[in-house]
Amino acid sequence: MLIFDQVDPSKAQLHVLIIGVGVYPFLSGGTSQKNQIGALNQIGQLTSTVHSAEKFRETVLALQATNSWARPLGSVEMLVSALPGTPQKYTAPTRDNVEEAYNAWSDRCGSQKENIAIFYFAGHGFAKRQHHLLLEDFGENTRLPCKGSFEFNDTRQAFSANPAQTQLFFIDACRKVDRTLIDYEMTSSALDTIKNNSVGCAYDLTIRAATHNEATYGERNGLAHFTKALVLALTGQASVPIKGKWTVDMNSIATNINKILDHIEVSKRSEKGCQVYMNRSTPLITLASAPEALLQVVCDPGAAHEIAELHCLTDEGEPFTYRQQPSPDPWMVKLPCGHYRLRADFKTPGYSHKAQPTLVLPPVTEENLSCSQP
Amino acid sequence: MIRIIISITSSNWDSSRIYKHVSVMDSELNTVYSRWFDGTDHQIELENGGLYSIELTLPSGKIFRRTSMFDNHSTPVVQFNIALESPDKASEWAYFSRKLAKPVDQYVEAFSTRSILHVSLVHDWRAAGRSDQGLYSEPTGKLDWGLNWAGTDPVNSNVLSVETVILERSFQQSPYNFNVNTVDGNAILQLSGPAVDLKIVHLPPRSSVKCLIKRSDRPVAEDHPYDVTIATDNQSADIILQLMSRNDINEAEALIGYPQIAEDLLYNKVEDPTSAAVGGYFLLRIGDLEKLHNWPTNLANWFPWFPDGCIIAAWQILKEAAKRNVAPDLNAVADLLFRSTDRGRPVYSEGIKLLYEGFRLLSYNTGQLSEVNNYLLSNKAGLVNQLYADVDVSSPYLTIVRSVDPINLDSPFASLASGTSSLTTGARVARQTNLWTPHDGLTTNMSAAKKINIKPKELGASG
Repeated sequence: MLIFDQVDPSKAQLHVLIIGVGVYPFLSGGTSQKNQIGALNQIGQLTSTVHSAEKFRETVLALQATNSWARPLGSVEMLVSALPGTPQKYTAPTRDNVEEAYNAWSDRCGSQKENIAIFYFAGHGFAKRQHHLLLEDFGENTRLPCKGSFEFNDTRQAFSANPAQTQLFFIDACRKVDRTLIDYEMTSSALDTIKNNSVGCAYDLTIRAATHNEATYGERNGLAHFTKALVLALTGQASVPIKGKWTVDMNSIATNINKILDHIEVSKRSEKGCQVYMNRSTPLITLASAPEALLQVVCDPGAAHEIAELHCLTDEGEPFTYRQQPSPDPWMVKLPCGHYRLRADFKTPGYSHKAQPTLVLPPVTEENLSCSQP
Repeated sequence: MIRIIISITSSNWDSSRIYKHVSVMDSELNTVYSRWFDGTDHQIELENGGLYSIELTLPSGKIFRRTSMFDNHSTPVVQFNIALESPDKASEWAYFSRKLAKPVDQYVEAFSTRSILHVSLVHDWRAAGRSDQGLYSEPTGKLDWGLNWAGTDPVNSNVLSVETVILERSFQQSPYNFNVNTVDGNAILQLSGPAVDLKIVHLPPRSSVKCLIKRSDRPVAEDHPYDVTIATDNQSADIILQLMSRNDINEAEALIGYPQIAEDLLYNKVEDPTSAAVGGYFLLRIGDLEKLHNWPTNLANWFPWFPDGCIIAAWQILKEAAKRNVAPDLNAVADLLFRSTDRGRPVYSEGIKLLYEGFRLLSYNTGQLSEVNNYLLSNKAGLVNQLYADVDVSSPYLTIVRSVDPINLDSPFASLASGTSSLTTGARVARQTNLWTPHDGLTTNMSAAKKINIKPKELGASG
């Protein structure tokens, strides 16, 4: 279902395909649950993937509203499950529907070499030799459960022959396989055919939320952690100042996504972070204003840090913010990026510190204030 | 005009030579200077004084930043103490060039059941001959599996050289640092233990390969508990490999922008083919095909023991055809990829990825292949697919992790050390110290280091 349609094949545009699968009727807890093989019986229903797909849509549209994309938005196609008790707002992400939407999206992307193609998927996944991404009708045929899934590796390689030379794939899904499935040779088919020119596009950024044999996590009724980090990256946490403008490019996403993941507060973390592949970078987003970034301040020595009154001043020396309570923990504060001055004051004699300038850049700036003893 | 002197403090001269990137941002956040340099000092000249931020980035990705007001006509010295990045001076090279978590005491308990680690270096195992599965299977899961593998090989008369070190509990606290000589042939480093999954790291053939084994900072049951870091004496190749591995292509391009490093790496292939392969992989990754010239073909033809050259040459054909919008000669591509697998596994992770994708491309386009190539493809693609499923692609060198075989939990090395009779007919166990060159901070008992020369044929009966 096209929820944004300003397609103009004569112009270079951005085309986005968003798939969010949370409802699996034929798996555990589903409305038409069937007895599946091995550990497939343990795969249940999701909520965070649906919320994540919505959040990704909001982000894409918000960046379009501020004219931030390197190419104007041409289309957004959504295939997202309707969570129980909610109406079906978008096309249901079944294999047939995803095939149809993928073909249409691929055709839109292929109209211009300068187009940007973004593919986003959030849902269940598992990997053995193939990386299976599970769609809503997964397990409908219990003898051939993968009729309701698609294989990612081949799909990705196949799409690399698309004329659009900037291609971004974000896959928020697990890559673990349960031992009970090792005896089954399950095969998912790709959404596309690998052609003899499927050898990579000029600008490729492909990020999987999980490395090989790893799981991904999300908050129930909240966001999947990877998507949370991805949205933060796109909206500024992965930006770099280029010629006075805050720019998010493929390289800055590739090199910062795991740092951002490390700093978001989550209940359970994927230990190895996400798996990134990039071949060459191009700018994607120019932000309308300076983004916020985390500043982490510690005093050296640690004894000074525990008693220091920490102040952050503007570049002109005006008070901006300060640490409310002395603590042994690092002082973490979120600030608009730019120049500041940091100062540590001590009520009791013992240490002193001269205010020092700092430049706060995303995603995190670490400052160590060297405090001297008289 | 101001002249800023960047002064780097590190513990070792050797590690201070690792390339570092320095950039300077002015008060308007414009980058006014950006360069890679090696050594401990670097001078930057700027036209005017003012507020500047100087950013020093190590190849590991660690960033140090200093912001200061610099007066006109001054010569300020800006110091960076990067020695603090490493928990000990012997490991600096690894901590400067790779993102490695420092040892954390609290994990000791979690590792107590995995405290014995066997490290073995298998020299030139390809020369030991072919097994039924060809050179694509490693010779050993554990050493005893290795003996079986080698022993069943009917054509081999070469010597399979295996060195082993058994690391003790004390290793849990400090990294294990050593140099190995792999110049005679392709070598693999193999980690295993009573409760440690098998980890195999392919090493480039060179006169000196630095290895660091450290406890992983991820004490999660399903993770491998040990990280292996490898470095060679070719810094440029190492850094490009590292930057590719962490996808910092902008920095890698900046690095090759100055001394044309990637192109030079390929040009120097006669002296250093493995580094040439790194240059080739990088140019393929960024699609800079002009700089490849005809060198990949030479790399494939001149070094018949080196699998990676054929992979690069195959992908050069594919990418050039795509760029010119013509159909590639898929039979020529298939021939190169088959030659690659006949030579053994690629040394680099980038190589196995391209091999895997190359075979997938052929598999979808079998109509364009000869009958012979279709037959060969059906055999070889399976081997590569099977291997690729176990590859840790985050490691620059081909690294494979396999689950421990519960049947073989007992250490084969314990019996070797005590000289059991099963080895007397075929194995010559000799004490050696020349190839395992420990650095400072070594905590293992080096008396456990052995070199074992095994004539596989003779082991057939007893293995």
